[in-house]
Amino acid sequence: MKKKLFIPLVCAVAAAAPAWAQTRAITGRITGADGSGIPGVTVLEKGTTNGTSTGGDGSYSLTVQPGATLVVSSVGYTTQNVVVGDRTTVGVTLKEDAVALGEAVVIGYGSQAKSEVTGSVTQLSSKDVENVPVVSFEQAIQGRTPGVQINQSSGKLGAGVQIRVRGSSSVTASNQPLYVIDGIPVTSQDVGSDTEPLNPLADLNPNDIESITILKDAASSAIYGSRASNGVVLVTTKQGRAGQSRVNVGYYVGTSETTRRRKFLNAAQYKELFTEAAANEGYEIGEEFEAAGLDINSDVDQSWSDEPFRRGKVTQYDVNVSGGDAKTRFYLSTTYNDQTGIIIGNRYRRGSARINLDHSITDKLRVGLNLSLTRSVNDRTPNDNAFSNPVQLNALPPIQPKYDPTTGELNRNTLYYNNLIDLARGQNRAGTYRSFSNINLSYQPIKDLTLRTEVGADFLNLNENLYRAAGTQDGGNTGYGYSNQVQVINYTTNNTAVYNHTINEDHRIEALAGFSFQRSDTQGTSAEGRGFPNSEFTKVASAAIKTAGSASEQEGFSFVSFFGRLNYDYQGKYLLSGSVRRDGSSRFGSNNKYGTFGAGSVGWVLSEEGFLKSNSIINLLKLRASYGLTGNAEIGNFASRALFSAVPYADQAGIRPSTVVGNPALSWESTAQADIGLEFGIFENRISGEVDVYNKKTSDLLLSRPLAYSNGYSSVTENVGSLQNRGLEISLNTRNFDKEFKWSTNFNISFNRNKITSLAAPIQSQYLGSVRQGEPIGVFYGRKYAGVDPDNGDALYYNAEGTTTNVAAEAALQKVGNPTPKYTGGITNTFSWKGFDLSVLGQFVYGNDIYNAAGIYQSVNADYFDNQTVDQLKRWQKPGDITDVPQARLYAANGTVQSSRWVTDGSFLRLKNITLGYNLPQALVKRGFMQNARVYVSAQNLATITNYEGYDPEVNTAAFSGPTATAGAANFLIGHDFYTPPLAKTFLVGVNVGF
Amino acid sequence: MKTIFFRSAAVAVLSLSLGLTACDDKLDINPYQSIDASTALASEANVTSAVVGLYSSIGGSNLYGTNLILAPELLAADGYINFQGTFTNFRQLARRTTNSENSTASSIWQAAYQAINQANLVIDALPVVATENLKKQYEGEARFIRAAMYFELVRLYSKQYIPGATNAQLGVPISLVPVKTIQEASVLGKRATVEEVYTQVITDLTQAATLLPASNGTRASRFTAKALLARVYLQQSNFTAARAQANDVITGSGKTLSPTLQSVFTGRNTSETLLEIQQNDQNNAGTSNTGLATLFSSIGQQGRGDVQVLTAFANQYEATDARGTSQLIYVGTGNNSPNGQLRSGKWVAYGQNIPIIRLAEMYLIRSETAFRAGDLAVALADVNRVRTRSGATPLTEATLSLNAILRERQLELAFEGFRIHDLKRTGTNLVVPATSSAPSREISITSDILVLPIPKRETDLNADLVQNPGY
Repeated sequence: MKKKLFIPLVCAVAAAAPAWAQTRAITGRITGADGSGIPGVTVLEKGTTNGTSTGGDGSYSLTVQPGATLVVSSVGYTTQNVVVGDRTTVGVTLKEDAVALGEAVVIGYGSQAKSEVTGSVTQLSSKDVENVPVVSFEQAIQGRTPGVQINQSSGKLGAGVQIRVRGSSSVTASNQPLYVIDGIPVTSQDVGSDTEPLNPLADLNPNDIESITILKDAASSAIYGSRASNGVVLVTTKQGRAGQSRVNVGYYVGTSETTRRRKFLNAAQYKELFTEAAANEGYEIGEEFEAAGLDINSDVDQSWSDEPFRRGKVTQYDVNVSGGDAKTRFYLSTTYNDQTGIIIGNRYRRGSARINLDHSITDKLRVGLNLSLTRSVNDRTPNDNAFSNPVQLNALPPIQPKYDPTTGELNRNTLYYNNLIDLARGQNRAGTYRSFSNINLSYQPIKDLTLRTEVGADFLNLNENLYRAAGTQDGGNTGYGYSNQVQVINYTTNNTAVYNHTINEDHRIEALAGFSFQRSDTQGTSAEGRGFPNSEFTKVASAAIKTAGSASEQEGFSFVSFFGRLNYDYQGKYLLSGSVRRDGSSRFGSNNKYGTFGAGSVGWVLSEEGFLKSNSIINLLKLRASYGLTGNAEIGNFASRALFSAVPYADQAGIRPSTVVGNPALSWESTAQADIGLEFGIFENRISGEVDVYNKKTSDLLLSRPLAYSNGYSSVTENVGSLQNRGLEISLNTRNFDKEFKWSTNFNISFNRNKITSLAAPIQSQYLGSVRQGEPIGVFYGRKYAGVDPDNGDALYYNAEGTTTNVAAEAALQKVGNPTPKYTGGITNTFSWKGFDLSVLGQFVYGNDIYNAAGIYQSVNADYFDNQTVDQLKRWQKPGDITDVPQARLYAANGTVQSSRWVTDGSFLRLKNITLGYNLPQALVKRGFMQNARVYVSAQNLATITNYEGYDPEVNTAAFSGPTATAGAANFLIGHDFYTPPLAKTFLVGVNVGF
Repeated sequence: MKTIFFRSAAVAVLSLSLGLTACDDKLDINPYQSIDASTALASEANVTSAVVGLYSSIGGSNLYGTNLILAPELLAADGYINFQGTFTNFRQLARRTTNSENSTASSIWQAAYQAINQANLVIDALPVVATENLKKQYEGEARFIRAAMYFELVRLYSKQYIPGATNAQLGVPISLVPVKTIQEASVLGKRATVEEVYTQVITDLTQAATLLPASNGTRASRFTAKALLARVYLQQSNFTAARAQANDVITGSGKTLSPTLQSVFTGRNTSETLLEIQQNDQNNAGTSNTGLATLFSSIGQQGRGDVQVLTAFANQYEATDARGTSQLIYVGTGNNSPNGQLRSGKWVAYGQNIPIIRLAEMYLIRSETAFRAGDLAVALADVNRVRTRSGATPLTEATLSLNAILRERQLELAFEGFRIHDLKRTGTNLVVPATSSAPSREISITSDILVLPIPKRETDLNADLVQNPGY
């Protein structure tokens, strides 16, 4: 690896020519209007990344270039630009400003004052993600991100989270954004072997995060070129600040419950419904029950549907130390998080440590190191479509007992597998070691020019262990074991030169040129075996037969990139920016190795113009527009190649061609995006906001074109097809009360309309999800249920003529729903009074449909012996009955085909988070040698208002989109529920103490 | 200062442009588990591997690993076996409700043509094979496999070959050129006639029989090709030719009947088999949803128990006949067997080998063709060789008849993928046994539903591909 890294490093950084100039050390104190020091204020040398933040008493020290201008910013205060001049002491008094317009925003390969940004960017801070009882940070920012829809998919701990920045821009390639942690693109997609994806971002401790920036439009994201179409999420971790050392200790403990549960029939209702169903078909219920292994005389009333769930528990211990002086800054942290899930058998534990160091070797030369190590252990919940999924226990008849009355052991004689046996006699665990690291060097050879080089590595080691003892379903007669080790080594070097120059105080130019190289290698080793002596032996070494899952494999990809950006700003009024990136990748076909991407944008700050500058109402008015081209390179590592693979023939090894024919012209998917934005602040910025409209057109969609089997191949992957996302995002911030009692509101709402504009052929899943030209991605397409014939209780469907039929085969296939919401958003109200603070976050999703794919088993008027949802009691019983539930008919398939019968509105409004905190009075705190102390109580997912009848409206089963499913199924099979466990509702109390 | 800046910029530009060339090779990452098609068949060793790949393909679950054995049985399930499983594709075959989207029909078609293209690629690559013997052998093996696939396709997707007729009924598309590129893979073919397909099969097999060595380990030998040729001629009712080939195999191959029929299935590569699909515990046609043992067996936790042997059929074996006893027909103890349903003992282990052609079939072919030619002594001796091996009472001149020989084929070759093909060539209608609600009835063996549909996906893609009647 060393050798591989060496060349790219040399490739681009030979440019540094030493030149030394005088610098100036300055100190000072930043105070509020009342003269008290403000801690945590960012003091940045304008146009550079050189900066610090103030200590507890508001003081700072910094070494700057001659003639430097300081940018002094902090949340809640108006940013000030202060010319240093000859001074060595620079004190600044900040004016309060709830609208953080002057805050520095992290952008690709740098940062920029919010006021100068011409792209569409959402930035969140540490307080949004700290101490929230979730596994990964994306879960914590739900409802706070205009233009970004976040769906947790299920309540399984550590499972994949679906994120869509401005809609879905791909049908078969990934739709997840590019994640960049401290400048280094990281592995963010599942590398495990199970159908149920793991979320590799769970390895980042949310409490270490300083800021999260989401780049949404082309202007902000095009600097990431071929990987920017799905948006880019930049995560910056906390850095130490010069000043007094600070120690923070945090602890919380809480308990969790399901957000919602579903009601199923009890024993009496079950017997009633099935007796009727059998009678309607002329069967004798006793005989039919017996044939299925059920006992009509059973006096058991087992509530199987409650068995999958339990009361969960969360705890977190968190310690961090930060501080430093003019030369060296540090941040050290360690956190232990333990979550016992609401689903039986599900538990997630994570221990992590981080050290972020930053040292000024000389005034011109700085070196930094970020290093983290995480260990996580996840006792997993199987995929939704496995008989071992605990939620599938709700299918078991209530007349069958949990324990076998004769043996006293878990009952094996159930209609479907009693998967409680799996938990008693097996293990399904994923363990991870993860390290994010980054070492960087920056150097200022001359005034205005900063050269920076960094090398980052992301090591991921995943260890999956599955054991099913003899007597379990998978274990069979002799037991089954599987072990899988995956190692992903992903390293990147970024080398940039930034030139920052102001001409005549009016013209400010920032130019960036850079080179980047990334390589990622994944190696996996797995072992699988059957035939264990007994259940005390759990490792594959003890298995008599090593089976086909034993393998080792490797794959990789690389990117070589050159990029540049030019920002120009005239008097802070007229802003102009352009960026370009040329990406080469091992993934692209031999005829298309390199692609060029770029964007241009303009901004006009009207409030800086003479005619508005003295206006007392309008404080900020900025118009911006951008247009650019980005790509999506998540097309698979070797999708362009014609390949032969090894095939075993018993003990011999052969080779044969792939069934997908090669396409040397294969390339990235391209997205052209236009964005127009307006930012405003009025009444002393008490009301401020941002509005964006965008049009995002993606072409060259990677689609599989079927080929005639009779030529020996099944398909070819080509860049055909296109789609479009158009949308509107509004965010609005108000300070309603701003005296001793403070109340502020942040509201955001996003509308996105997705449409497939061209497609090779419709893609239909075996469920309702499909991809069709002229329709949004994932549109539900199938038979439309027309209710029940009041005369005879037959299920009815609409046929092509628009009339109804009781023959399912005659029903017309049509659009029956749309899983994509019409709009999503959130509202946060924050109150504070004296030492108390209260924040209430509401999240809403409106206008999407959900298809319960398990409906054909569980809500199907007693067609087979699966326990039924209680709504099935409303079945048709006699002529004249008006109901939606057809007559109960055992085995008779009355209304059992997949149809809109199980499509329901999935809109919801959720009380996502309420936190009430109290900061102990300073006098009291000081007496305990503390700087600050806060106690809080918090509730996550406290209440959900929805018409959805299933478990939880925030659902997206991963079961149908695993490795063996149709390419891209994860992208378009959205809004399907299949025995998917609900999210957790969590209550906790916590304390944070600073020393 | 300006100069410093420009100088630095110049150095940066220079190093970036140098970087462009220096870093270009950083983009060459090759797959580790695959090799590029352009060089995959460039050496003798690689072609050797590609020939092994041919066998692997035909042993997959879509071909001999499951479907080519199971589908011909399910198509004639009445009074014989019952499909108890949940797979609709198989249930449709057994209940004659198959439609053009049936996944078995689609997967056999796909896999067979994939194997055919592999064979075409091997034949195309032969010039790189320097060793003359190997070159002949590989060509023989590729032709054998190509012939086997076309033979299976034409039997399943077309109406039965009629002896003495023109046989212009639609067969399947024939492709003999290697397909490597998108352009080649986009060429759309037409269905050849049944006559043309059989001609191609016979040409390939005849050539294979001359090219292949007399003995070839567990792979196809000269006698394997001849044995398949015997089967092909028999299917055409070309009894003379079938007899000649079967006779060659019996006399020339050195194969002998195994002491017991069970040992042919529980053992590996016994003295009886002319071709077996090689399997082991690691590499087999499947253990959960596919594979013969998966679908047939019901032993504790092993097997789905989807294929039940009906008592009516099991009762056709005499009490002394080992083929009807617990060795080869046993009472299921696992899935789908609450009432002690019967199972075939031929498919009981996930990793067992799958005999495709065995000597007993050759005896039965010689017996049948000899009988048809009036050579009763040979006919009687051959059929009794098979019967006595399993402890069944030998037939006598009095009890010997064509029906007795054909019935013997059913008893001996049960669950091995012969049934519908035999019924079709002999023009024997299916008999649906009487039930409590309906009397017994006959289904014409020439019914459209007994021919598999051309997969809908294929007819959608290729307008020239005519669908079979009834779909």
